[in-house]
Amino acid sequence: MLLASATTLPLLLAATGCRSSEAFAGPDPLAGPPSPSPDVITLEAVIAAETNLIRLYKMATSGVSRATAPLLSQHEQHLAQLSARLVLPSGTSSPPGQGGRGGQGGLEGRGAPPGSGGSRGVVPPGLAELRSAERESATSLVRQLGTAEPALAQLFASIAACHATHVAALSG
Amino acid sequence: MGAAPGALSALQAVLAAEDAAIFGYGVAGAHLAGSRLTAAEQDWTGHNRARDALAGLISRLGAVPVAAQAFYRLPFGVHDAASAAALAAYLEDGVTRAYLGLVAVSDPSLRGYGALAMQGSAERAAFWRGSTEAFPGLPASALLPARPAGQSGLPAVQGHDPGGQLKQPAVATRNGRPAGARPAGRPRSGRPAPKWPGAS
Repeated sequence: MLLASATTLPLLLAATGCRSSEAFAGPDPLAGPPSPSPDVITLEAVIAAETNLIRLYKMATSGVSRATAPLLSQHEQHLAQLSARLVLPSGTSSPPGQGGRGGQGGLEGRGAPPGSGGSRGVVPPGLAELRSAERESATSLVRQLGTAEPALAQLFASIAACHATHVAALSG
Repeated sequence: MGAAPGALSALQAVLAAEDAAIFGYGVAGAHLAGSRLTAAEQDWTGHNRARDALAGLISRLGAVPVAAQAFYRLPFGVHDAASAAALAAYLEDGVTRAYLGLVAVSDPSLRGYGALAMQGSAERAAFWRGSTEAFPGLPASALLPARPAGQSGLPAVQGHDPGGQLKQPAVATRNGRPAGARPAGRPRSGRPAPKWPGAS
């Protein structure tokens, strides 16, 4: 009974020219799916960028990867913290960094596809490229925290500071 | 010129942290030599400049900058180069926490300033500590377990560091400290110092 009412009432309201939003304070069932908040969009972009940094580290040459293993571990901690703050409804599109809305930091599409562990014809990144990617990411994070919710802004700022320390570490 | 809500107290907290760092570097420098002494002197100078700029900004906002304390109690004994370096890292952690408080204010320009400034203090902390940290400035209580069921939202870092970080236990920002990632030498990012909001 409740189900029938929920599905038929909006149709009746539409037929009589009455918008359901005028009758209910809740979401408009005739409208499309709600658009994500700006914080969600920003968070998805940051997750995508962090995912790409991790991919880049995993592609790094073997001589570099040993030295950068602690940095990679910190990026994985960043991704875990960022991902813990984004709960996607079931049935939504692919997670950020794997074809979602996100994508910044100038690393999209670089090198091998996710999880491939490198492929023929792809030049593994060296220290200079990792350094450049870290710097770009730190800059981008600071740019995006201006309008974010305060606690999220602080997380972005902390991660950006970590990326800045990585730039210095990779310069040593 | 008006201040955004909470901005003034955050700025005062940063100023207090800078004052504490200035005092602490004076202690640390007495136990350092060579390139490490040079680095400490550079950092001491940088903190003095930041202190002056902060005091000017607070005055322009119509408030009186908090005064430095005459003496700060050290968190541990400083008697050699190793403990002097540990003190420097501790000081920079305190400064980083204070700038992180600035990132939570509503004024976007102050947020940006705080975020850029804490990159500098995090770099200096990594230099003195000899390793990088995953979440500079964030207390462990601000971090969530990965993918908690039914939980979202990040607990904001409440309040601002009062600047008396020399009196506080050295516990705050040891999150996920790696075994390696030691910055060799004294690499600098080359990033220009962030410009103060409203500065000419």
